[in-house]
Amino acid sequence: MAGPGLCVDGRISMNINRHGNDPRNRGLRNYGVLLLPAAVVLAVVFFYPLGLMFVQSLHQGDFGTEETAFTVSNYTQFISDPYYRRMAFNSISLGVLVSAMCLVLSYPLAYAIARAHPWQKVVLTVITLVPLLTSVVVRTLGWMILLRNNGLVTSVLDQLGIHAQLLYSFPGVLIALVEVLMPFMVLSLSASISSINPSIEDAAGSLGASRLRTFKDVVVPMSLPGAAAGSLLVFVLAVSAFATPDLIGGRTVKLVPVLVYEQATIVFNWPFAGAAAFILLALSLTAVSIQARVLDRQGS
Amino acid sequence: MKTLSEQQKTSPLTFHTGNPLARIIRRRFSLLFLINIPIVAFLIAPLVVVIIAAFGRSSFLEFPPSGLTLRWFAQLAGQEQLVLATVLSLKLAAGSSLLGVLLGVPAALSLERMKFPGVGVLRTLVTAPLIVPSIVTAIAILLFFGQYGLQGTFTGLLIAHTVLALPFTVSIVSAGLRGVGDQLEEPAQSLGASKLWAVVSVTLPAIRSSIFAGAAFAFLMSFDEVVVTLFLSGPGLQTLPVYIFQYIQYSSDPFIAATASIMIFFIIAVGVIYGAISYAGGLVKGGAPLPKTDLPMGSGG
Amino acid sequence: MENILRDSSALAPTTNLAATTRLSAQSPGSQTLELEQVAKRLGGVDIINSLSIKIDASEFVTFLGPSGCGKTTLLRIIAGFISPDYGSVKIGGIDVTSKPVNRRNIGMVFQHYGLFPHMTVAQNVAYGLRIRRVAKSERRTRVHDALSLVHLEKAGDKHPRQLSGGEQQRVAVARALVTEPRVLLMDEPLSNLDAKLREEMRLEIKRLQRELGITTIFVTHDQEEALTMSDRIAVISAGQVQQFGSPQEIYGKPASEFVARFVGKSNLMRARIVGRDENGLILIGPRGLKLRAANPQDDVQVGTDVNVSIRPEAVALRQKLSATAEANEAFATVEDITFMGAYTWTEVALESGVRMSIQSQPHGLSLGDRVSASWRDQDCVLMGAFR
Repeated sequence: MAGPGLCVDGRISMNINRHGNDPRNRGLRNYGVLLLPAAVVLAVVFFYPLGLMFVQSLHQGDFGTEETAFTVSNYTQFISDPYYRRMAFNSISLGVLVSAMCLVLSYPLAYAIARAHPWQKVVLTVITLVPLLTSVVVRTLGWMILLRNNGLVTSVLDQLGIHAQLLYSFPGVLIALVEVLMPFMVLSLSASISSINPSIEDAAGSLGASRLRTFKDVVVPMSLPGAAAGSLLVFVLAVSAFATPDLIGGRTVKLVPVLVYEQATIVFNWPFAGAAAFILLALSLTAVSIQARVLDRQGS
Repeated sequence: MKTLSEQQKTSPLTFHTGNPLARIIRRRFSLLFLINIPIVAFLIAPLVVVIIAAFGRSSFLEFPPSGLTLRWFAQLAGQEQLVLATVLSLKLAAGSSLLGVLLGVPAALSLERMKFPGVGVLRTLVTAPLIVPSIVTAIAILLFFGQYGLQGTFTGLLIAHTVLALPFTVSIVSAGLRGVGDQLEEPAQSLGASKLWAVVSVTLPAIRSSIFAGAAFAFLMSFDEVVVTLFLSGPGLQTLPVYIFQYIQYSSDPFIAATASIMIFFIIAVGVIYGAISYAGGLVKGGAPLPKTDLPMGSGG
Repeated sequence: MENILRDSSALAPTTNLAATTRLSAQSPGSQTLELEQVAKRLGGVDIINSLSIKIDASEFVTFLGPSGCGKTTLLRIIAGFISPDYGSVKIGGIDVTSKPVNRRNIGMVFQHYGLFPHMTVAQNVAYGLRIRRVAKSERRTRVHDALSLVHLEKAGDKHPRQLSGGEQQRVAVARALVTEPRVLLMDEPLSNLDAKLREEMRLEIKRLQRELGITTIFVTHDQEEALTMSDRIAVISAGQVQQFGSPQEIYGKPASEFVARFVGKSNLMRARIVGRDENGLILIGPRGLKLRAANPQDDVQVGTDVNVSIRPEAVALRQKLSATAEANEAFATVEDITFMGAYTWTEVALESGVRMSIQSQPHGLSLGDRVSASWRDQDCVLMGAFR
């Protein structure tokens, strides 16, 4: 980051300027003004509501009944009750499993995208983008059809002697979320692999490394920043996903986002919903900051 | 620029016959190809299933279907609720992408050109709606709208969708701006343009493909959004995804699969139109399918 | 060299003459350019140190220096992109220091061309005229004139990306000239071109400048560019002008070790002035090497240490040895020979241990040969008292 001394056209250089006004600032004196409309909208419709919810979460009782005392009981209740702890654990393990599975499944596809001929690159990118750009509800519907009892997947598993309930189960949510979030991982990885100079792989090959060996020794280590970015992005999205877990998991798979939804719209316990939401947010932000730190270290 | 021969050497998907080297390359191709078949199938499976199921003859959703029919698609037109939902979805998407551009382009310009140490923090704040889980955003905005009677109104939905669109327009336009830097503004100024006029007459037209891409992404994100919309929609005010969500919560039949298929076709159509306009207008150099951005795109389940 | 010159005149069809005269006839006349005690600090570092320079009307001046010497900052101060912390910029005698870029009526050509990618070539060239609200019909003729000046009258409808690098830079030149600026500023405009094109463009830019008579400042780190194009060269280092003079002066009489090293190749050595006679100065170089220099300045004190520069092409090698070494002559051993086509580089080690590089016609010497290296008194250039 440039220190204040390096600001070529900021106030600081204007101060030491004998002529008072830097000609570069004429006509468009302050870019800050341009940020104002967006900033106001975000402040009013995004940050203020978040603040409102936070204040709400620090009070006891129903929404609307004001004058209740300040309390952290909503948070302590979440943390001390094994039922909710279990829920948080479910959410975190879902996040970890989804990102791990996405990572494994995305590498071959991302590698193909990064190293393919232009037209193949376009085809594979489109195959990645169309699901990404299709509403999550639509894709979840597809998984509901595939995963339900006597559906295609369970029938095939039955033939193999595996009798499993997938719809309204944790594994079902897991499978659907992996598919829903995979495009993020593919894009993140392929961007990272594209930036590896292909001649490095050729060099490994010329030194006698097999194709697989080259992939393991060269491509994987060099694309780690992309893998880290993709994994944490997928983790964050998986932990906070609501639509897919709600539809595939029904009321049987207990996850934090579903709890937030139930508390807010069914139980009407807004303060507790707020507390759960903030715990979810804290979880996401922790992951994001870990990601930032990992990427920082990779960068330096 | 890579030469053709270089690409052939390095591409695992190259399909060549003849010399031993090419044969080795072909072997690589098949291995990678074979691994990727089930992966690609997995990725597009739900979309294919939804489309095929929509043609199922039975009134119960089945896959694979026992027979084919078009009657579910024929039924779509008669559903007033569905037509309303589609119109609302399109209005919201168009409105929020327009507002997203109107607010996002100046914001991106300001974030890219302001030079002080705190500008990174501002950028993070503007793109925060992407990081905050949508369920959290949803109940926070619902809480706020509840106090002002905006819940269940079109205005409320439009404002909320604009907030969700902003990170996309800002980050895509920012990436475009970073691409040209002030390399065009300086020549324009040297030719007599004021700083403001240089931005308006040169920089913004030069990054119009980024602005267009930002608008397109905002449009699609709004069109697909379900969680925040679910909380803020009210009676008679359902978007297409919310309509589908609420429908399949309780029942599922080929009719809803047909509805969902329409959404898939629409996305593909938008993609084709986007590509066509980009090519025709020479907006996207080399027809790059992805706009540049450094932010994660899309909304998670 | 002569061949290239003929090529360039072949490049310039006579039809352009009309365009040239029309442009120069309308031109507000070339202007003087003056910098007075300009200083600029950026990030706690002095980029420009109280620098003054006066450039005559119609002059082609090159700012020559290594990267980071401040030459580009200086150009940007003249253009108005950066305002100096101290000092003033005068164009045509008028102080423009506090005027913004767009009010200075300058023409600028950038290293990265800076063509607007979304406009055609003609629209690019017309941009400055539109801003000046020039009527459409006049705009069209002037755009055409400017483009024919750079032999691109047929490329008006093309987009910049359809042009080669050299053509893009020509468009940039046309765009900068069409508004008839008072001065033309060029920031390393040729550095993105390949070697052959660069030589062609040098001659073309020089021709344009001469025909239009526009005061031009050309920034480069390429000494060959500077020597071939300029009326005067300002060698810049550490934010200050080290020497300002004609290419001949800069090359033949470098004022400092820096200039001698930076412009052309040079054999540099330290020597002490031990005497003076009617022919000039007598010096003793490293390990007793006897030097004679044609006496340039009268104020040189006997007994002071100076830097001496002898250009490689000024040294003659002879196989036949005189019995004893005269001044400006030394016995040497050939250590390295590099054939360069038109000439040959020879590295020799003098008996005194000093190594010298010699540029000469191809010769029949071989490694290890004992030779005598000699040079004339006037080629032994003194560069100020050594501190």
